[in-house]
Amino acid sequence: MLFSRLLDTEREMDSIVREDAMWAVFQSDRHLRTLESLAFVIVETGEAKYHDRFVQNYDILYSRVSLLDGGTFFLDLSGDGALSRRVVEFNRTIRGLAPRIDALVPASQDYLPEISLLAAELRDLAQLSNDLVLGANAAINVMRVGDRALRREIQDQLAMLALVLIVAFLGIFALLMTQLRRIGKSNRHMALLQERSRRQAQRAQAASRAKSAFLATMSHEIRTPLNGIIGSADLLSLASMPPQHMRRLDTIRASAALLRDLIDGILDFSKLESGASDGRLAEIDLDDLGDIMIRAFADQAHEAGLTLSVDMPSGRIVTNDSRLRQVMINLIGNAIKFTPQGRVQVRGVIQGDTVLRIEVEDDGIGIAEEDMPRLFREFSQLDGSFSRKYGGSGLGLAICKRIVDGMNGRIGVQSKLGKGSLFWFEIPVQENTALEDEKTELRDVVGRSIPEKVLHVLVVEDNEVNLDVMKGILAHLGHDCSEARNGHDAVAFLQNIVPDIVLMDMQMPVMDGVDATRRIRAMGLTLPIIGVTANAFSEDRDACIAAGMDAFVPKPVTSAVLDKVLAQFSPAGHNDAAPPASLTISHDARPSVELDDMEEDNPQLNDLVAALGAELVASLVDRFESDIAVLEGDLGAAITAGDATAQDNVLHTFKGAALTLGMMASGEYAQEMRARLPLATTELDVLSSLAYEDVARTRHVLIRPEVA
Amino acid sequence: MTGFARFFIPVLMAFSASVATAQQIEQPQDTVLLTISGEVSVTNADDTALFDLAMLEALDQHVTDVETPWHDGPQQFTGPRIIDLLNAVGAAGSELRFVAINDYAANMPWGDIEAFDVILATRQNGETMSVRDKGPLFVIYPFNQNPELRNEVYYGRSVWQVKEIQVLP
Repeated sequence: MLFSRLLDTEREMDSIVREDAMWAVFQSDRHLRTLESLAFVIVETGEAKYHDRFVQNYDILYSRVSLLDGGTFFLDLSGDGALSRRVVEFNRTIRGLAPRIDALVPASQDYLPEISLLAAELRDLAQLSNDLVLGANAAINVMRVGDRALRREIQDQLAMLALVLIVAFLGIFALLMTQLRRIGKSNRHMALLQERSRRQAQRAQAASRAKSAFLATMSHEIRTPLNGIIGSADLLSLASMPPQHMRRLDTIRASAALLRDLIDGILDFSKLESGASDGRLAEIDLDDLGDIMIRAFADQAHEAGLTLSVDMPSGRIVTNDSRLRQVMINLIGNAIKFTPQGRVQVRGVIQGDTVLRIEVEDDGIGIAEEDMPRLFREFSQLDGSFSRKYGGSGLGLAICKRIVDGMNGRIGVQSKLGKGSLFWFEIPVQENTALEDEKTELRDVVGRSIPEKVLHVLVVEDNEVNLDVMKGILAHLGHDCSEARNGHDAVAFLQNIVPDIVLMDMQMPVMDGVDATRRIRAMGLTLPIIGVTANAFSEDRDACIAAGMDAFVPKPVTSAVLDKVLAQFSPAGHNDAAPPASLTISHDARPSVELDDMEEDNPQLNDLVAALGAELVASLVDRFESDIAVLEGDLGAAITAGDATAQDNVLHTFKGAALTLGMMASGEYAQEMRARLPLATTELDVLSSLAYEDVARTRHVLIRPEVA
Repeated sequence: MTGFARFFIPVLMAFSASVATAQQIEQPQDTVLLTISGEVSVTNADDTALFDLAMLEALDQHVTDVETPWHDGPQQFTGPRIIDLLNAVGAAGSELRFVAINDYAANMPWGDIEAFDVILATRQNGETMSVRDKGPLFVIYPFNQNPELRNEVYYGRSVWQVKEIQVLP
């Protein structure tokens, strides 16, 4: 509305026209009066010399009046048109004079009367013109007032509008300021939150690192007292006690062993987590790898009634072979563990020359889909009842995932509950043989990259007394110790955990030391294996070395010898590629001991007391005493039966225990007896009386204050 | 010295004579329509230059089709451009004053005639203009080519019934 008024150009034009029209009317009036005056002068003077000026003035008047009703100055000042009609009449009258003016001839005698007539008419016209001027002026005044009122109205409206605009602007400004302040505040808040979350992330990372370090430390620290528990319980089990106490002690030992396995798993895992993975690469033959897996798991699968097949492509690849084996052993072990019946199939395939994919498929219990996501997470054995039924820490798959991730590979599973599982992993490999020269050198570093003073030692020993003594000495030397009762158990143990060193007894039931060593080497493990034997003959020694042992020590084992051997083969202290055969301590070199001297100087017994304490040694002696009765029974039966092999076995076991406890007389005698099999009953009596004498002498030594 | 004077005096006289010839324009043969006075160097009567219709039409003619507030419908005006006219009389000023027969007068800045093709029309639609037709001379701005000129200032400078142009310093 306002704008339409502001933009009313027609009205603006009107005002221009009005002013011009006023000017035109006034000019016409002025020329009309001049014309009238000239006519009056001519009439009064009677002279024609003013004629030209008279005519020119008329011409000018004529040109003026034409504007009053023509061009854009057409005047229409009043609403009723009365003024316009008078203008038109005035205009017509003026123009109407033109023929008469043109007809004037100054010389004519009609000239003066005609001028006189014109003068009278012009006087009347002047009156009309005056009325026109006044009327136009009045009309213009009215319109001016109207205009002014309109202008004021428009001005008021404009002022109002301006006020509204200013208020609106102020409002917008205020809103903008509020908005800005709010944005600023939220920005500050965001920055604060970001800083806070950054700090929280830092704290979380620190906590995670602390957790890992804590786990590693605690696992390690827990092992020491745990070994104390296990060792003490083992030793305690040597003492005679009521059967219900014995059962409880068995429970303690079993629980402690389970706990130690669990902690071993955690240790292994936290080592991986703390990034202590070796970047060692080696070239391996995939066929060999398949053979290793078959040999390692054949017995286990057979016992479980499963068919195990391993199908690997032929060829050689370069990869981190020990890690690869660890993952495969874990997956295959799992497959066998969780498959009640059916088959376990292992397949390997090289994809695109650079990726090795291994699949382990079983007919086992399978995995429900909802359980898959947490399958590879730490401590996530699917069902609590599983660990009760199958044992294990639940870390196996998590460790596998860590290893595979560390090798820039992928690991996954396809499974259906009750329909078996297919575990697979893919790792990048190099398929070349360029590393041939470095091969030997690389192989020497296997498993020895983590320098650690405290060693983890696997003791493989069937005789309980010997086992207890070994464990006692190892604990005394500050090392950690795991045990296996025969070669088969040792091989099974090494499938999951690889200790720093193995102390392997030679003669054991089920699987002897030489056999076990061959199998361990066949699995591709290169950790040091030290033979522990009373058979110090050179052919035995050769058999040990041929089977893949690094060295051997004779029985009885003393803490000094053991310490030396462990130092020699400690991964941290070990630098030489080939363990020196000279380490082997010759049976012949052992100082021969006279019966009389023994009472005064029995280094083996002193060593034992120093390592285990007099009380424990005393309990071992008690245990040995009860073993004498067993010896009498077993050996007597064997002599009666005339079974030379059985006699030899009994004597061997007895000799080992006797020498370990420093009972040299009976021990040496037993060894001598083994050279003249079959035996007579009388010889048994000699041996048993020697044994009892030894027991008595040992007890006597033990109660001496300087020894205790 | 006398040789010098003898050589130079005729030369100087010849030179001044040629200048005097250049500053002269012909005398009007018919009724004088226009007088240009003031800062003009080329004259034909005392300090002024007088023009009759033939002299005006002897200059370059310019045709302007235009609508004016004083006529009904478009009109065609013909006449010399004022800048040409003033150059012909050697005018050198900053402002012009146009005087009409009825003693109406209006001033025009020199810039107008340089910026626009302002003409001094002698003919309307091919015919000469009588005083009754607002003739004989009419200052015409090119309103159609330059619509921004359509306002009271330029209407006021569009003097009709022109009889004299005063060139003001």
